[in-house]
Amino acid sequence: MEKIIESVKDNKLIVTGATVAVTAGILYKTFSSKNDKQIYEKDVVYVADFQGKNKDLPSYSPFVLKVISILEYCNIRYEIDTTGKLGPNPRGTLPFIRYNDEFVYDSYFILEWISKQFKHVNEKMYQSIGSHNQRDQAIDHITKRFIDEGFSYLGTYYRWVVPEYNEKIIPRLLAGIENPIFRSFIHMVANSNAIKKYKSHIGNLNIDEVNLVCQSDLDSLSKLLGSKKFIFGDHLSMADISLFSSLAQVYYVPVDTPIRLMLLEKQNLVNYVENVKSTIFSDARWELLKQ
Amino acid sequence: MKKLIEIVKRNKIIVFSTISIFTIAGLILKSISTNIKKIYEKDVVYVADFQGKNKELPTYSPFVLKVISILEYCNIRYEIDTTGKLGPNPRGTFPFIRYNDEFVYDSYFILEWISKQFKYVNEIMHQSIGCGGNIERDQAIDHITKRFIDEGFQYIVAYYRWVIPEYNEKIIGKALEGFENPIYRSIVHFVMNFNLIKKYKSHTGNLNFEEVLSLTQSDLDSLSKLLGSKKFIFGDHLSMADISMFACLAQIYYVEVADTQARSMLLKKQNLVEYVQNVKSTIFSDARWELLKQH
Repeated sequence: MEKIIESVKDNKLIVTGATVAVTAGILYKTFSSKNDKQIYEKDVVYVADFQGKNKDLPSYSPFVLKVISILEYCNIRYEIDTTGKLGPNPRGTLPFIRYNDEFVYDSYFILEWISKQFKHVNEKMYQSIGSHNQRDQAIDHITKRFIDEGFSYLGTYYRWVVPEYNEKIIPRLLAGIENPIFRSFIHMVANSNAIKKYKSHIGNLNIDEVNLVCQSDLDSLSKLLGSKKFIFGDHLSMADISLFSSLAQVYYVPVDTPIRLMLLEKQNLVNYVENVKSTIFSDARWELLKQ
Repeated sequence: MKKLIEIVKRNKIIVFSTISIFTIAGLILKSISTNIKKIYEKDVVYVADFQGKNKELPTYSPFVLKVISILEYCNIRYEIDTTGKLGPNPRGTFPFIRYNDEFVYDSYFILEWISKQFKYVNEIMHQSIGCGGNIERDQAIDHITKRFIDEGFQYIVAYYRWVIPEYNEKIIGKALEGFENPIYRSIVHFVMNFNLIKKYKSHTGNLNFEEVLSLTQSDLDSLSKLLGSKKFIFGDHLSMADISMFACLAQIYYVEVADTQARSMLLKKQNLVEYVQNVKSTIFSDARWELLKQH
């Protein structure tokens, strides 16, 4: 030890120089990798999502899946970005999108933005509703809001809040994280965040009450659909996009939660999920998006 | 006086013991009397709510108003209990009800319980369901609309009164007027803000104010279109969706202490304004409404 200190003292200049060089090297490496700006193509919608691997469906978030579905259905050029560096995310939630130099947050407002940005979208999404049918326009909006604010959270409640299903399902969401220790850590953090969120959204309902509300909601969604192809007829509406995205979370994740068992008993809803999927996505596309 | 002091001095022990015994006895009696269980009448639904004073409507909670509305409309004997001692409240939220020895929590489940307990309620609340020609579709729309209002629209309304400081002071301040002591009232106001503002912010998903305004407008547009020119959502009789819708719109319409943007938007929808007044007078007599404003 003393000898080292002696040498350092004797060669102060050289040691200082070396330290500066090493520090500069580290700093350069850190900042340069952050500055490797991915070139974002013009007029392409970039959608931020978590990275995944061998997923059961294109996204484990019903809100991200809504955005992907509408972009795919309306033939809008888009790409999923799982780098985590797509852009600033002050709200800390997914999805958000980047288009040229614009950022839009919250799936409700992303869908509104898409309708305004790409004029053909509204025409397409209202084919079965008609511009004069005010009551159906209302039901479209109300159903979409009910699913986004109510039913969606029931759909994903079991995977986050019930330990038995959490153990089976969440690892599937986190399969994109290679390092098993880091994955467990993220699992823990995600659990604690989710439980807080569900407490506030679902309130203080116990699991029996959640089961009851799930059943009533599915009964009503099944009755709303009836024997029609989609909610309003032969063409997809915005409400269908919301409904498909939240039912897909239940249907395509092969773990038998209570809500999945209830869903499988509703033949018209099962046919509906499969119909909407094949209307929006080709089989090849669906498989590609799962990766 | 001197004579009295003489007597006390000479009989110190007796005097002190007597005074002590009487004081202690008095304190015990007082505490027992405040713990004397209120007698709860049989077959009466007791609804827990905050005490209020000079309110603008029967209650500042849309959830409590839902419960009061259905009980009133279906002629079920009920009483509002503002003692805060109605019963155990593990969930810490209003409303909850007490019926004989049973407690039911959460307004969604309270309404379900009321439908099961009082068989004729379902009949009354489904009279107009199916009038459009498709019973199942109407049943679905009834449930979905009710859930949309309870889980979505309700929180948009709550946003104004909780998250916007100017409206919070006026509206929550008014709602807490039942607490006489201004210091205690400030403390309660502070604690409620602390607990609830975060919750309401998270319910509306961290939206900014412009976004909340936009959602408010879209939601009101849709409710107006859903109603159209009909008396109530499904026709001439109230449904469960009407109960939810009325309870929520009333929170905007009758609360005039703050001129929120939500209120201005509502006032522009003539059919919704008439609707609120119609539902109110269908459920409550004028006298009853005034009485409920005072509890």
